[in-house]
Amino acid sequence: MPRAATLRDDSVPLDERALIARILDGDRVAGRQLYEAHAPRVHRLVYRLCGDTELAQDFTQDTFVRAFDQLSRFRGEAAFGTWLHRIAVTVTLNGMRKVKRLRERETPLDEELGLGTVSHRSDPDLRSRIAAAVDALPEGTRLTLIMHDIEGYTHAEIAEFLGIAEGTSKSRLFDARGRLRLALAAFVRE
Amino acid sequence: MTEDEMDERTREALRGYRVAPEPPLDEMWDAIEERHFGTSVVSLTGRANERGRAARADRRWRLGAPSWGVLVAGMAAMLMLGIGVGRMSRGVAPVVAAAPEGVYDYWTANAEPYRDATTEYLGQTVALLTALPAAVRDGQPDARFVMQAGDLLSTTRLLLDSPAAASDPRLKTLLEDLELVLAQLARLPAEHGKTELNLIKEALVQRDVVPRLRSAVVSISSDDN
Repeated sequence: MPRAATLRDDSVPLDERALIARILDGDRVAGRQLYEAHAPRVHRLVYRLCGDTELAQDFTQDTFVRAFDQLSRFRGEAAFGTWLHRIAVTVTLNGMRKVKRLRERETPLDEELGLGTVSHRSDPDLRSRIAAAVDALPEGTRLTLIMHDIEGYTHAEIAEFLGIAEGTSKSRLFDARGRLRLALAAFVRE
Repeated sequence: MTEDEMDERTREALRGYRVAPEPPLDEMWDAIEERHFGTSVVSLTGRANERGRAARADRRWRLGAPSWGVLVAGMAAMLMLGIGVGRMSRGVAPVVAAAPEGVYDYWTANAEPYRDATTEYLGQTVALLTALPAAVRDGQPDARFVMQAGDLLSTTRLLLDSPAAASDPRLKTLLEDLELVLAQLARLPAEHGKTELNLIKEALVQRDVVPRLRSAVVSISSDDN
């Protein structure tokens, strides 16, 4: 599975502590710099979790607004990216619970696939089957699978984001993979 | 199919699960900026300026020869020199007359953000319009010129809706003229735009737009002292 080396784009060298200090002084340029360094990855995660273009934008915005509003509470004990992604997950999960019509509004998977980096070798029927199997997973199991196997977060990070033990994250992942194997096995038999 | 093959196919299929579209970073930032920092036309013009700088740099790299973008930069520098002269010579009458005592004066009450933004915007616009003749290559308008006109059009509309325009009829009239010109420039077709460009050039001359722009920039800058 693809691994994420860090929680932000390391190609953009940033002195985040200095940026944070400037943001706390009301410097919107610093805010924009910090936003640009993290927004693509936050948006990607949020979209994977909610599967809706407009909601992903709303949740990403809410994430940064909340992060900036609470920036004075950020003590630097964890990486800023970790702190930010924890907010993103919280905002997204709470938002999804509030939006009851989410399932009806989800963008059809096939439309979105054309926008991404999907391997041409991948079988469309298989993709649909896997997507349906992922969607059918219990919420916690699904989130763990997305964050670990697709987005490349560690079990420690997932545990922190979701407020669970690392062992729980591992067992959820094991469960998710097992369910996907079953779904794929049924597909192969067909 | 072996278990390893099944796992590999599963992983491959998972990579296509909910692939996010390209995020609209500018649009999202606008909302974030407004909610956290408050609305600012300064940031909007700043962003247009950043895009303009990036476009100019990109064009220099790609073409390796002077272009309208280089001309814009040069003219902008000349304009800034003019502003400096304007700041030094305090005899120039400000665009906005001093408000009578007891009457709300926008420029006094809320001067800084809008004055800086307006000055910057006017400077960019005069540079763009002055570079108009060089923006046509082989009878077609330069795509980046058209894009920058679109950016400036957005800023024009923001300023038109701002208290700056509401409190200054002369500035408002100028902005309305610029809105028309920039709207035409921003809508220039990728092909067959030569005729439209010539019409725009004629309109610029007839309405004396560029001299009025320069006058406004110098006056606002002088008023700043």
